[in-house]
Amino acid sequence: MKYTFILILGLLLHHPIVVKAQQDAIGISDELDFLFYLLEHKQFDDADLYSNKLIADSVRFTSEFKDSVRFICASAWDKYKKPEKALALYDRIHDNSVFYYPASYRSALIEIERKNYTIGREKLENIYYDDKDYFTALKKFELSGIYLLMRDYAAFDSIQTGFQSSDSLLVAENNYMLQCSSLLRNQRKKSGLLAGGLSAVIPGLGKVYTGKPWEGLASFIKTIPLAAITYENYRVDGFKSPQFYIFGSLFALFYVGNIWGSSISAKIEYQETSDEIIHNIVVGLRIPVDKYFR
Amino acid sequence: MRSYTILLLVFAFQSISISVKSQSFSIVDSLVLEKKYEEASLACEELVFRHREDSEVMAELLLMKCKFLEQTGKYAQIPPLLARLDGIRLNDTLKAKVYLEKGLGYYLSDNFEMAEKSVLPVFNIEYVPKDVLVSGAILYAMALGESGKWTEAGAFLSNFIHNDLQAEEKLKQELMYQVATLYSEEKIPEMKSIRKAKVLSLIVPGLGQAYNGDYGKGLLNLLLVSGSGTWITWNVLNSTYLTAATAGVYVFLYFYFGGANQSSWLVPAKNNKKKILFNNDLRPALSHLGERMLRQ
Repeated sequence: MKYTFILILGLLLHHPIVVKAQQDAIGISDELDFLFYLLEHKQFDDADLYSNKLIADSVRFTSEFKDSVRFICASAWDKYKKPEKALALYDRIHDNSVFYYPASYRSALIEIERKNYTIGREKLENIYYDDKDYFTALKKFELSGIYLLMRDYAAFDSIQTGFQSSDSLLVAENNYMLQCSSLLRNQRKKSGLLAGGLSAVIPGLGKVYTGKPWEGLASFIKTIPLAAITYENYRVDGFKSPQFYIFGSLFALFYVGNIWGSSISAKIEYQETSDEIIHNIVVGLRIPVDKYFR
Repeated sequence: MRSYTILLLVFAFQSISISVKSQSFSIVDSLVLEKKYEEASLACEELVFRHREDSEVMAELLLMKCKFLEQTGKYAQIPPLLARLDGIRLNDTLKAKVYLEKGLGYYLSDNFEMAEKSVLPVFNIEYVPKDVLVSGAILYAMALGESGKWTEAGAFLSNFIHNDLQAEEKLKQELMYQVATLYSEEKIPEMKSIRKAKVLSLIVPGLGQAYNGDYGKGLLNLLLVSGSGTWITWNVLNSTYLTAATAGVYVFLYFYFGGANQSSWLVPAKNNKKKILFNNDLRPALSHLGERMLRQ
């Protein structure tokens, strides 16, 4: 009886199907190990070539395995700031994969970082709604962030009204986003017209108004002497003086340029402040995703 | 420039491929024959992964991969690739090959200072194959040349031939004569001093440019400075004192100091041009010198 059992076990182990299954199991583990090895040693070109080979192999590997390969590589490209490559792989991960959620969120985040807010919002909205409270809260948090970046305050407020989470990190990040929202809403745009008008009265005053006093002083120092020189040449030689025309033209150029620069400066100042707030929002959107899908 | 160096260091490549062939890694060989260097590079990595316990096989494979990176122009990837062998015990030959290849990687990616530093340890290893030693010496001389240290390079090569090269005395004499001719004082281009050019321009506007050989620019600078000085005088005589004191002085100072500051980019640009021309002539000659050293 004992010998019969060993004989049957031996035959079974040598059966081609069993052997194939064993080889496949070892093979797949090896493939992923090797992929990790390449990425660990920053051999990105080789990792790229190798992952493409694995994904293209329709005989040996299952769809789940290929999704794992895509996710591993996409995470590496994401980490090493190659967003196009990361996106291409994240977006091809199937919704039945265990990597579906992290891939979808990260893909949306990359779109947000590239200022493709509409695409990012669509990607987030298209994520299959999960019953778990966590994903509901996370999705709401991310969506409200995108609406804030798009300056759609009504949509932002609507989502924020229903936001609830038991997660302390998510709550903290959401509070920070509310502060950013308040900063964005209360940000006062300085008038380009007023800045230009002030610079027309006293060169450089417009830049002082936009919060750049040193630039204003520099404009003043450049423009006023030119006006004085032009006047001096007019006083001494009258309209026949070529120096009058040369310095007069230079003065006109600096004067008009300064008015134009002051009005632009108002817009730039507004943009710089907005960019800083937007950057903080984008960073804040990534933190919970990175933490929960680590 | 690069092709000469790669040709020169083909000796090292041959010895690597023979050694790896002994491990019968035929996949890599067949990919090389088909000139699929990127796939060959990946195949090397797969073999490294499988043989990562065997440090010497791993080193040989990584050295082989370096050659594929050279073929695909990814020179900058060579030094970090070989950094994976840091701290691993290797035999003297492999150690020397790794230093040489790392130096070549730096050299080909235009990091000449690091190329110098990376090749130098080759000469402190006890048992180094002649081809690796000679390739290292030539690469070191080339790297020194790229930094404009030709006298040092000439002295190093003479010393290397005299003390380290195993060859007949007659050949050594011939080689040393060849080195002396290559790096003779008449041939080495004279590098101009930025400081000297600046000081000369401050003494007489345009003189610094003339010292650098830019006579036209020097004359132009002299005319601009003297012209702006004349303009100031004319304004004083015309009673437009404010114009003289502000615009006149500004333009004068702009041309005066601007001319002196011109040296900080004119002199390096000219020096660099001379360096490139001389190194372009030197490289094939050094390659030929290396071949002669190995012919013995």
